[in-house]
Amino acid sequence: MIPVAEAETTADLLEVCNLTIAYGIGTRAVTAVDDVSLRLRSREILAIVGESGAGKSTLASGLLGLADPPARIVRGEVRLAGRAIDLDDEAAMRRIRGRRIGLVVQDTQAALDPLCTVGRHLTETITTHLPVDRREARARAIEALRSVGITGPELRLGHYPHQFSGGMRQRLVVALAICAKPELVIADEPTTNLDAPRKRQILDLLGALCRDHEMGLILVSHDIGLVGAVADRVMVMRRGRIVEAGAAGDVLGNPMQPYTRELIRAVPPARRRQRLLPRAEAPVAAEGSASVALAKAWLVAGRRFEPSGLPLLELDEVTMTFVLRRSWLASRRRSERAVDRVTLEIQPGEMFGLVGESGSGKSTLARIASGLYQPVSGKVRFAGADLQATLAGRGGLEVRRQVQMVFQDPFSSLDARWRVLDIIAEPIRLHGLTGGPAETRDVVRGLFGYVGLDAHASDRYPHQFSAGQRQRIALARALAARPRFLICDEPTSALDVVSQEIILRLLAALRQELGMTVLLISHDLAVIRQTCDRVAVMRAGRLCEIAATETLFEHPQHPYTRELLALLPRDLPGSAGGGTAVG
Amino acid sequence: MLEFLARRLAQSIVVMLVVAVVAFGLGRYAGDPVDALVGQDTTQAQRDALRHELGLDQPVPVQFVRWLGDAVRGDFGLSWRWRRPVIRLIAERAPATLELAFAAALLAFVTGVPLGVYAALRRERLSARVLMAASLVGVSLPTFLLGLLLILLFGVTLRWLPTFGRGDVVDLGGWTTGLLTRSGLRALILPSVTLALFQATVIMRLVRAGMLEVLHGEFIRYARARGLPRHIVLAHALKNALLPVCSIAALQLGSIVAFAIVTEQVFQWPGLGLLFIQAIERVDLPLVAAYLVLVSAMFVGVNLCVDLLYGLVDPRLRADRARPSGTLG
Amino acid sequence: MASVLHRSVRARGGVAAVVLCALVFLAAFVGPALAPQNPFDLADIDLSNASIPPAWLAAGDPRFLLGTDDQGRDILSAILYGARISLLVSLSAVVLAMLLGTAVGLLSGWYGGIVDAVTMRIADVQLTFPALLVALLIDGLIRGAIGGATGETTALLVVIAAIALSLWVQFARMVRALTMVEAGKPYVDAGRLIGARPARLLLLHVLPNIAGPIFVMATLDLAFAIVVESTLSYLGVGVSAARPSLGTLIRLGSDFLYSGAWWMTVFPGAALFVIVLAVNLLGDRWRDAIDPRLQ
Repeated sequence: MIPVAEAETTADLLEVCNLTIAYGIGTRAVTAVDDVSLRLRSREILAIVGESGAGKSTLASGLLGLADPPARIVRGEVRLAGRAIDLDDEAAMRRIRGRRIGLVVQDTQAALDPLCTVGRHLTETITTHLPVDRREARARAIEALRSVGITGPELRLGHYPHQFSGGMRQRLVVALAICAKPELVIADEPTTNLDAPRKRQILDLLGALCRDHEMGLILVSHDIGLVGAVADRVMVMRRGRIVEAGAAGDVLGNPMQPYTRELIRAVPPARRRQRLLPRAEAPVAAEGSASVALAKAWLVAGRRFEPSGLPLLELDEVTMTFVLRRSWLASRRRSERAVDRVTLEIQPGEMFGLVGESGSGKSTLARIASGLYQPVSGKVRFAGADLQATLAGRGGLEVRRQVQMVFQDPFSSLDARWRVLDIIAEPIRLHGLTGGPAETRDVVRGLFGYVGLDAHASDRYPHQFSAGQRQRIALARALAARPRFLICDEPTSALDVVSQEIILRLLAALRQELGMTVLLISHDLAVIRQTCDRVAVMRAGRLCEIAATETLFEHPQHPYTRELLALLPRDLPGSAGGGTAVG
Repeated sequence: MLEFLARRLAQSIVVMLVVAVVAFGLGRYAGDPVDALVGQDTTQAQRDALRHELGLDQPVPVQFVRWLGDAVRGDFGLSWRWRRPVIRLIAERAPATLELAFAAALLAFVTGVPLGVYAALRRERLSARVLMAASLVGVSLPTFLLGLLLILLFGVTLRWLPTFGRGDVVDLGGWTTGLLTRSGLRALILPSVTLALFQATVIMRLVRAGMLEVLHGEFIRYARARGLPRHIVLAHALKNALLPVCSIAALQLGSIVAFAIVTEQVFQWPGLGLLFIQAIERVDLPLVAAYLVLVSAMFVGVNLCVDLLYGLVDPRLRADRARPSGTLG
Repeated sequence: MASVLHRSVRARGGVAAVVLCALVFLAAFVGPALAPQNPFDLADIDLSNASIPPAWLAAGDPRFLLGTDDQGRDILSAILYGARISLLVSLSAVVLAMLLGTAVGLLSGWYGGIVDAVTMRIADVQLTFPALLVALLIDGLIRGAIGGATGETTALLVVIAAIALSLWVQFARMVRALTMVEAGKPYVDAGRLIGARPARLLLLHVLPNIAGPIFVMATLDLAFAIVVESTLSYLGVGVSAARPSLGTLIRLGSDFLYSGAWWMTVFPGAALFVIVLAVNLLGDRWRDAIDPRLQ
C-alpha cells in the first residue's frame, strides 16, 4: 500500500548511531568523534561544518573504515541501506569503498599516483568494482570525465596527474569517486585548495551529480557560508560532538545554539557594508588595562612622523618576473611576469585593500611594497624616497622597521624554537626602542594584552597557541617595531571564521586608535568590503580596477571585477548582514 | 628530458676531468718520476735522455694533454714497482675483483631487497622487528672484522673453507675465472659473504625506509579509499618505491667496490684492491692514478645509467610541462 | 635538544641505547686510568708474558684477564687505550666535518648564486665516490706529500683530516636543503623586515630549527667514522702502531690467527663491535625521535 511504498523510497541511505572514535588509550585517550548520530537519505546533501579540529575529517574517514591506528572505533553502529556494516572488518570495507561509498579528497596533489595515467586510475577503479571488460571500462571512464566537465576526455585518459591543473585535478577526483556508481559520496573539504570561482563550480557539480545519479552526499567543510548554500541539511560539530543539526534553512536561518550563532555571525556579509565595532568581544587581559594603556602610549609615542602631502607608498610601473625554467637554449627558457606594470598609491592613514585570486601576484606585490623584493623595473617610493635606495643607505635600518608584515600561514610565521616573549621583543631589542629590559618586558606584556591574549601566556612557545592566537602574536610582533605601514598578506585565510573576526576587529582598532596605514590583501571579497576604504583588483599580475570600496562593489567597471562579484556566496539569513535579502 | 640528460652528461665529464687532473697531478708532485724509474748508477745524461723520452721537459699543460691522450687509449705508463705497463697489471687483476664484486652484489641484492620490502610491509610482526635488530648488528660489524671472524670459524677452527687466494683458475683468453673450478668456487664463498653482509644490511634498511615512505603516502591511502584490492595497492607502492631503490643500488655498487679493497686484503684475494693497497704503500703513483681513473669511470657510468632509468620511467621528467587546454583549467 | 633527548629516551630501546653509549664512552675515556697496565709504556711490559690465553682457560693467568699479545702486553689494557684513540679520532673527524659542512651548507642555502653553484659542483664530484675510498685516497695523498716518516701525532691528524674531508659533503648537502626550506618560511622574512642581518638570522633562527637532523647525521656518521678509522688502521694506513687504535690492534692480532692465538683478534674486535653498535643504536633511536611523522 502507499505507506509501504513511501517507506521504501524514503528509507535512510545511511544511518549512524552513537559513533565514537578515539585516539590513544587509557588516560591519554583523545576523543575525536564523540557519540555522533546522523541520518542521510538518497539524493540528500548533508553538510558537516565546524572549526578545524572539530572531528569532521575523522568522522569522514571513520565512515570508510579508514580510521587507522592510533585511532580506533570505540563504539557505534553504521548502517548502509538498512544493513549494518562493520567498520573494523577490512575485507568487508574494501568491498564497500569505492563501490558503495565514494570519497572526494582534499589534497589532490598527494592523492594521485604520479606514475599512473589518469585513465589507469579510472579504469582500475572501475574494473575492481564492476564486472566489465577493458573496453567497457574505458568507455565508462570517458563518460565519468565528461560528466564532471573535463573537455576532451579521450585525450585526457593518457595524461598524467601532474599535467592537470588544481581545479581539473579536483574534478578528476570527483570523477574517481563516482565512476563505480556508488550510493553515497563523502567529500572531505573538497574546495579548500581552490579559488572562489572554482569552489562554487565544484560544489555545484557535486550537487548536480548527486541529484542526477541518486546518490547521497556528505559535505565536510569549515566554510559554513559556502556549503550552507548548497546543502539540504546541516550538522554543526565542535570538539567531536554535534552541536546542532537540522534542515539548512532552519539551522542557518534560525540557529538555536550560541556556538552556531557565533559561526554564522562571523561570516562577513558581502552584500552590505557594516561598521565594525572596534574591539567589541576580544577578551582583554585581567592583568591590566594598565599595561595595555602603557603599550598603547608607547605605540603612539613612536608615531611622530612629519605630515606631508605625499602618499605613503607609491608604486610606479612596477614589474617583477620569476624564472620558471633555466636552460642553455634561450628558446626553452620560461619566465613568468608575476607583477606587470602596476601603478598605485596608498595615502597615509587609509586602509587599502588588494584583492585577487591565488596566482594573481598579490603576495609578490606585497613583498615588493615591503622592500623584500626588488622589482625588475619600475619605482617604489616610501614617504617620497626611493625605497631600495633608502634601505641600502645609512637610514636603512630605521626605514626597515617602518614597514612590517603579517603573513598568511600562522604556523610558519613564528620561529617555533623561540619563546613568544622573545619573538615579540626582538624588534624592540634590535632597535633599542625602550629604555631597558624591564620596560621591554612591560611593553611586550602590554602588546599581548592589546591583541587580546593573556599576558601570563607570553612565556610559552608558539605551538602551544591556536592558529588564531598565533596570528595575533604575529600582529603584536609587527606592532613591536612601531611601524608606520602595515602590510597584511592574507592574514585570515588560514583561520576559522571566529578568529578571522577577531583579527579584523584588531586591524580596525589599529586604524582608528593609531591612524595606522594598512594594506590588506585577500582573496575574500567579503573581508575586504568590511574593512577597507579603497580597493584594487588584480589579475594575472595586472591591476584591473581601483576604486573606493562601495563604488567598486556597487558599480564595478571592469568585467573581471563583475565576474568576481557574481561568485560571492549568498548571504545567510542569520548573518550580521541581517534580514531578508538572500541572494 | 633530453636537456636533463645533457646536463647530467656534462656533469659526468666535469667529474672525469677533475679526476684526470688529480690523477695527472699525482705523478708530478710526489717526487721525480725519473728517479723512481732508474737506479742510482745512471748518469745525468741518461736521465736527461729518459726525461726527454717521457716528455717531462715539456710545459705542464702540454704534458697533461699528452697524458690525457694516452689515458684515453689505455696507456697509463709503467708501474714504478713492477716496471710493467700499468694497464697490463690492471687487466690481469681485474677479473678477480669483478667476479668478487659481482658475487657480492648478487648476494647483497637478492637478500637485501626482498627482506627490506618484507620488513616494510609486515613491520608490526616479530620477524620484521628481529630483522631490523639483526640489521643493526650487520651495520655495526666492519667488513674486515667479519672477514677475520669468518676465517677464524670456517678456516681455522672448522677447516671447511679456504681462507686465502682464489683457488684454481681457468684462463679464458685473457679473462681468468675461478667460477669454473670447484676450488675456485669454494675460495669465493667466504670473501663474497663477507663483502655482501654489510652491503645487504644497508640495502635492506634503505629499501625498508623507502617502502615505508611510499606506503604511508597519501596516495596509498587514497587507493585504499577507492576500494582497490590489496595486490593492486601493493603494485602502486612498489612502482613508486622502485625508483629510489635503483639509485640506492647505484650508490651501493660504489660501496661494494670500495669495501672490496678491504676484503681482498683480509683474504689475500689477488684483485685490484690488493694491487691498489700495495701501490699506495709503495707510492707507485702511475698505478694509483690508473686505478683512480678507471674506478671513477665506472662510478660515473653507473650513475649516468641510473639517471637514464629515472628519465625513462618517471613521467614527470619525461613529458614537457604542458599547459592544460580549455577554459576549465 | 634536551626535549629531543628526552623523547629518544622514551622511544623503544632508547634507554638501552643511551646507557650503552654512556658506558662505552666512560670506559674509553676513563678506562685507561683504571687499566691494570699501560701497554705502551715499555717499562711496564715483560716479554716473558707473551701470548698468554685469557684467564679462564687452562694456560691463563689471572693478572691478564683477556690474555696477552706476542709482546707481553695485556689485551684488556690495550683495548681500553685503543678504544680511546678510536673514539678520539672519530669524534674529532665528525665534529670537524659537521662544522665545515654546516657552515658551507648554511651559506650555500642562504645566498644561493655562485657560492651555491660552486660548492654543489664540488659536492657532486665528491659524492660520486664512496666515503671510504675518498678517505683512503686523501690519506694516501697526504702521506705521499709529507713523505716518509710520520710521527704519531701527524698520523693521527692525517687520519682525522682524511675522514673529516670524506664526510663533510653529506652535511653540506643536507644543511643546504634544510636551510633553503627554512629560509623560505615567513618568520625569516619577518626577521628581515625587523632589520636583522643574515648572520643573526642564520645563527639564531635558522640553525636552531635545523639542528635536530644535523645531530642525528653526526651520530650516525660517528659510527661510520669509527668503522672507517678502524678499516684504515687495519690496512696499515691509519694511526701509527705506537699509539694503536682498535683497528691496529686487530691487524696486529690477525697475524696470529692461524697459530691459534684467537684472543688477540677476537677481543679487540668485540670491543669495536660494541662501540659501533652502541653509537648506531643511539643514532637510530634519535632519528626516530625527531621524525615528524612519528609524532
